[in-house]
Amino acid sequence: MGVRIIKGGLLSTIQDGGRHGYQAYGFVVGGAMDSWAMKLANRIVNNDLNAAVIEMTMIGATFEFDENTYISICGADMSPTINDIPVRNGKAIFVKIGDVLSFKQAREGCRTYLAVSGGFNVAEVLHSKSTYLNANIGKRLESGDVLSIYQASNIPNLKQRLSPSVFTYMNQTTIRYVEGRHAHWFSSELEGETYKINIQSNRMGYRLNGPILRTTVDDQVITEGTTFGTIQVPPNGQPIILMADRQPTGGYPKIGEVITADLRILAQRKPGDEIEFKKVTLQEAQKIYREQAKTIQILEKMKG
Amino acid sequence: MYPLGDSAVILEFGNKINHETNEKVLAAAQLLRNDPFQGMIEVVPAYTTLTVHYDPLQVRSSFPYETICREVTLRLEKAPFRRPSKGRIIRIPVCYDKKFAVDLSFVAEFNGLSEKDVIDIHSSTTYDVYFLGFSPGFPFLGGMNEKIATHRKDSPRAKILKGSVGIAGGQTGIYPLETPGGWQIIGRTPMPLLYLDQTHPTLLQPGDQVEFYPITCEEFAEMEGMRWGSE
Repeated sequence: MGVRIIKGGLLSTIQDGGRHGYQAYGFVVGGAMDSWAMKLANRIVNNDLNAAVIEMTMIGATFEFDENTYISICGADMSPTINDIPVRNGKAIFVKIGDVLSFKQAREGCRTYLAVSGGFNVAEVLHSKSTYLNANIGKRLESGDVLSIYQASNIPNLKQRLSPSVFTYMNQTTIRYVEGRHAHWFSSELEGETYKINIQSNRMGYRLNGPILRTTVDDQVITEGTTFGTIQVPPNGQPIILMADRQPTGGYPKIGEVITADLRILAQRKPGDEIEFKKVTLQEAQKIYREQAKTIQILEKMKG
Repeated sequence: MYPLGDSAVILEFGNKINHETNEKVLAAAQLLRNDPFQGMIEVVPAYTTLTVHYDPLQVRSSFPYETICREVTLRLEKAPFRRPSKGRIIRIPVCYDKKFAVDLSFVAEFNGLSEKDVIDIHSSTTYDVYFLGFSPGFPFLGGMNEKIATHRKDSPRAKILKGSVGIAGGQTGIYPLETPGGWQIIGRTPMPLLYLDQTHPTLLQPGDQVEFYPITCEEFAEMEGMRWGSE
C-alpha cells in the first residue's frame, strides 16, 4: 500500500540527502540535485529535511494513491493536477485513496520534488535511499511500480503556503563561484562569461559550451578529490560542472567551484539554457550559504 | 591546504605518485577519521592528496574555512606521522584468456613482449591499493612494472564488462561494474569487488595489497558460480 506509478515520466528516481561516508570507497554521493527544493518539500509535510522524495526531471510522472496521505510538491512547475484539477507547489495537500496525481513538462526549471508525509519506505543501501543507476542501486520509476510509505507522525498545516517568491530562483541565470585551485593555470577567467548548457548533461555533470579556456602551464593534475559544483576543464577548453552523481575524484584542472547556495539554480537549468558566471570570495560564499539556510529555519515555524 | 569550494578542503602531501606520499595521505585520513572535527563529513584519499568534506553550517565561526583549516592542522601536528597499519594481502584470480583479454595482444606488441611475458609480469607483482575512485570499488593500484605500461585507448569503450582488468599508462586496475572506460583490457576476474550489504562495501580498501594469479577459462567458469564471502 502506498503510491502506484502509472507513468514514470522522463526520469523519476528516489533521492534523499545523499550517500555520505562512502566516497573513499569510490561511491558517488548522489542525492537530490536541488536539495533546497527537496528540503522545502519535506519541511511542508513535517518530514526530516533529508527524507527520501521523488525527483522528477523535465517531464513529470503520474501516480495513483492507495492510501490517504499528505503530499507536497516543490521545485519546477510541472503543472500538477489531482484528478485533473490543478494543485499548487509549495503547500501541503491531502490526497485520498484512488486520487491520481499527474505532472506534465516543466514550465520553468527542470526538476520537481514530491514528498509524502512520513517519507517513502524504500530499501536503504549504505545508509541512503538515493538511487544510483550506474551501480544498480535503486531504479528508474516505471509504470506498475508501487512505493510504500511510512506512517506519518503528525498532520501538516494545510493553510500555510510558501510564497511563490521562494521559487524565483527557477528563472535565475547568474551562477556564483569561487576560484578553483588551478585558476591561475588559465589565461582567462569565468567571471562575466556566458555559457550554454550542452545536451550531454545529466546528474553527473553539466557540459558547457562557450569561450574556450586555455591553460598556460604545462602540467597535469594528479587525480584528486572533487565536490558537487567543481568546475573542471578538460583539454578541449569547454568546462564541465560536476553535479550530484559526480565521481569522488577526477583528474582535470579546476578553474572554480560553484557556491553551495547556487547549486539549486544550476540544478534547475536544463540543456540549451544559458548561465552567466559571477565570482565571489570564499568568505562571501560561506556567508551566503548560511543566510540561505536560515530561511529553512524560519520555515521551521510552518510546522503545524 | 587549499579550499575546494565552500564545503571541502584539499590537503596536499606531495606532487609525485609514490608509495611514501600515498602512505602519508592514508595516515592523515586515518587520523582525521579517528578524531573528526565538528562538521566533518568524510575524507577522500587520492594519490597525493586528501580531500576533507565538511558542512560549513555546522562550524561555529564567521569564516568556517579558516576554522576547519586550524582544526585539521592541529590534529595533523599533534599526532606523529605513523605508518598506517599494514593492509591485507588479497589474491585475485585473473583469466588472461583471449576471450576476456581483448587488448592483451596490443599491450604485448606495444611493449615488444610476448603475451605470456605480459601475463607473467602482470601477475608477479605485489600492488598497493592507493585509493578507490572512478566508480564504486575501482582500485588505483601502484607498483606496476613499467615494461607493460600502455597508454589509454584513444577513444574509450562504451561498455567494459564487470571484472575486467586493465592497464592505463603505468597503472593497473579492475572494473567492479559494467561502465564505459578507456583502459587496455588484459583479463578478467570472477571475484566480485562490491558487497553493498556490508559495512565495508568493497573487496579492497586503500592500504591493502593485491596480487593477481592466472586462472584458466574452466576455473573462471567454476569460480563465477561461487559465493564469495567478504570479511
